[in-house]
Amino acid sequence: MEKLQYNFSSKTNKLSKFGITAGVVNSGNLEILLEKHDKVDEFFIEVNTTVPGFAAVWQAVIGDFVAKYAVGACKFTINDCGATPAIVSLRLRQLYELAASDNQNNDYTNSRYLELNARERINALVDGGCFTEIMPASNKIVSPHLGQLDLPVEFDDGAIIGTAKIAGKPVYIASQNYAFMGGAVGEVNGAKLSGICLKALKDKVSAMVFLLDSGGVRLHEANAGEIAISELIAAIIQLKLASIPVIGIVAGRNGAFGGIGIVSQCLDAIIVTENARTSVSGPEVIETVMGVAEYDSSDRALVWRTCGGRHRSIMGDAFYSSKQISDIRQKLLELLDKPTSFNEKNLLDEYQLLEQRLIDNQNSRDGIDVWAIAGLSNPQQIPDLSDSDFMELLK
Amino acid sequence: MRFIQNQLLKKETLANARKLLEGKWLQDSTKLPLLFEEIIKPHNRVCLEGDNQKQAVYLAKGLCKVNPQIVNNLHIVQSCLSLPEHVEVFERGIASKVDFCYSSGQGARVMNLAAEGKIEMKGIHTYLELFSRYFLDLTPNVALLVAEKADRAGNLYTGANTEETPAIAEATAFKDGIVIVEVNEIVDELPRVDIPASWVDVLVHSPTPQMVKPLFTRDPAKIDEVKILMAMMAIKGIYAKYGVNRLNHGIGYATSAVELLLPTYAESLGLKGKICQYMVINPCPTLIPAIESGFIKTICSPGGEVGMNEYVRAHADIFFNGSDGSQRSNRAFAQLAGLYAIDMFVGGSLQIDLMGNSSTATIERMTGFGGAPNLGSDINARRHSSDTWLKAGAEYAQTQDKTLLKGRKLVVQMVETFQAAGQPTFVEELDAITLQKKMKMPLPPIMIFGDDVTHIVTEIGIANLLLCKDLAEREQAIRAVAGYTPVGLAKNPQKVAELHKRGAIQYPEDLGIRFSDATRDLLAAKSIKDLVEISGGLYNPPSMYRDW
Repeated sequence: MEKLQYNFSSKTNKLSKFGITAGVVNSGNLEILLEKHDKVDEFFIEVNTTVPGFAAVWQAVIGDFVAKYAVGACKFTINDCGATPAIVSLRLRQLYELAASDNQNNDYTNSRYLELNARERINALVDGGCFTEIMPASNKIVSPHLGQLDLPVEFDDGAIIGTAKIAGKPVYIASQNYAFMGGAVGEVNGAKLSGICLKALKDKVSAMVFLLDSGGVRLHEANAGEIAISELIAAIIQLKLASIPVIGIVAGRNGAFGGIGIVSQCLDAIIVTENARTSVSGPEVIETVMGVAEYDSSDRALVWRTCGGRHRSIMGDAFYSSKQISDIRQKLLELLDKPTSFNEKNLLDEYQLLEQRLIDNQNSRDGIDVWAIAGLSNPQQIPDLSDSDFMELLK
Repeated sequence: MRFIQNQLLKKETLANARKLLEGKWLQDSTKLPLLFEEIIKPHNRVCLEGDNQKQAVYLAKGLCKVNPQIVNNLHIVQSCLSLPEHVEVFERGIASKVDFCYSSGQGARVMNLAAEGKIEMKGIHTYLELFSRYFLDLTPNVALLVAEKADRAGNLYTGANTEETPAIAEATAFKDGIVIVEVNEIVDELPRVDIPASWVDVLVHSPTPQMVKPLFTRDPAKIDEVKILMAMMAIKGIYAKYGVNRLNHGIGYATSAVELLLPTYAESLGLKGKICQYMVINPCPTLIPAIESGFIKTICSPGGEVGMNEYVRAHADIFFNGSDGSQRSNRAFAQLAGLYAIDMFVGGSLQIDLMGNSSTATIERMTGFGGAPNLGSDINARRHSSDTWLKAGAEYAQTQDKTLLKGRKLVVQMVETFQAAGQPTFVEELDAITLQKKMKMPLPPIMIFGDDVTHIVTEIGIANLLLCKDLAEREQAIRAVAGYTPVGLAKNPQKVAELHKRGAIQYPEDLGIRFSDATRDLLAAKSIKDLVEISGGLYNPPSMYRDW
């Protein structure tokens, strides 16, 4: 990692928002944080980059940006993961425009969950403008481990948590940033997730909502991550015992795997879409251990037939939604109103169900076989049905 | 007898191979290497069909098993070296010379073997050059081809991925060469005959179906705002300005972005029916929204695309389909259309120098050319006019103070200034020059010559090289759009300002485009699944592209 710092003289900004970020830390991309700077006619910028030796290029790109925009009394901090100058210019401008706009940008009617980042997903699902973030990026509580491995950090460590209302009901919500380290859980990230659960317990909110999108635990901080997962499961169990509904949404790019796959099954309910995937071991891991003949992870159609959203819905492990934000929100509202109960009997019933599933499917080689046993007609056509036809079939 | 030696030799060779055949069919497929040892003579010119998308895999594996004592010093003449076996024949001493076009995926191995002296690189061609030479001095003695289906008599169906198979078969069959074909399916009646049985000497049943690679599928989910900005600039600043209706697109994300902006951005500019009506292009899935919205009238395809067969069948108005309803592609004719009939070529590259020369060769690998040098070249042999061609020609003639005698094909490079962090696209000297010295080539492997390039589009803006008076101006125009690369940082601001004033350089704001307008919301499809839905379920993407 290389740290670069520049001061530029610039007219005082007329910006209305501080503490906000643009971009994400993943390959070929970067994150910029906007903060206040103590000198009115000076712009200060710090760059932390994975690609050393480009100080002159950074200076030129930032210089051109400062020449066009009034950013005096602003401080930008960049966490860069090999963004090209084109992307750097774009993010600088995006951050400025975001900070300069008055509108809250709360219309997500035509948005797609898949296209939104972790924060936008929260804003799209909760009542307009009522999300209050806890430990936002501006707190800069980053992973203590990644820096030691010479890896870039993200200011929110890939987990966005906070308080909100859904249809007027107070809920606490957590959203995983799939783009930073695949949404994987580390020490800080995990502490945020279990911390918001404990706060929900203490404040007796209506529900705890998880927007899951993660491959599991970060290899780079594996022990801390594994501990974080177990702490998170313990916190979820406490919420369940207190009859506070814990609802998950799995509708993002990475789905829910590894420790987060386990977490997804500990919740009272999860909502899935067609593109969702959830399981414990990821397809590549299964292929590595069992061989390609057992499971070909490059056969993505097979992957979705064995752990995709439709398969999970057919098995009764999840509630199915179309990809429309409005539909996901509607399903979420229904689940918030559903009473939950968590006791020994429920758990034993669940075990029995799973045992029966194993017995019923001992000869199944594919999701299609499982669906046929579940009594669905034309099982091979299920992946290609429209959402509405599939939901009709589920009834 | 003097002038029919080859005829006699072919008769004798096939007579010797009869013991392994039943009619034209190889009886026992384990005897394939023996069959080759009977038929292929040392020093023969052999085409081991490797097209862009389909390859005679089974025959290639068989050829690797022959005894190099019996079959050796072969001269390989084929367009693509794409299978490991295509290189293995050299490693095993079965083949020693090569004339080819393109070595996708095997580029590094081919170069190493050439450096070790195991491959004598005769010539690197464009597709059309190699096909032309099949009919002159590089006619295959033996062609090892692949077809989707055959009937018992040996007529062949090659279908959507016909590509160059008929051209190879024709050159070989009509010059007393021997044509051997692998087929996966033997049927009583073919959907249609793509290659008649009389051109075919030997057929082999391949137990495994042909794997065709989806080379022309670009996932809309991977198109970022930078590509979208470039596509907006190109549509407004080039497609609309010159009214381009006959064109070819390369296969990068930038051109995919253009395709996905046609029904949204281009339509909002009132360009439907004014641009992009006739395209030389494989049936790329990203074309689906533009086809559905009625933008495109005709598509001439050099090859097919995996998963697009049913869609193409249902859009016979657009594509070239047979009496059976399925597509027939033709690489040679599509390349000719790309050479003579289009008014614009748009493609990408890995490196561009100050003259505008571009190359995809790097120090590590030399992939060859394929079709781009033909598609992306202005052609002095053209005599028919079009408004687009004349407009580009007039710009150039006026800049050069010349009388207008001919138009110009628009040759557009769409590239980001950096390929990845730290790797500039714009360079003072191409790696191709180093490679030329290293490989002792007569010429540097340049993909498209700067002389032919008319426009360069980057995220910074558009350089219109037609409006540059001389090489010094051209250099400054290129530097102006090279952004923060060392080449770009070394620009002369005064010269650049002058060129900008003249319109030789246009920035987004000159075209009324704001960077903040370049969002993914403009894409007519944001995912492969969207493409499936827009196609009415007719597009059936390969499993590797699914997320459902």
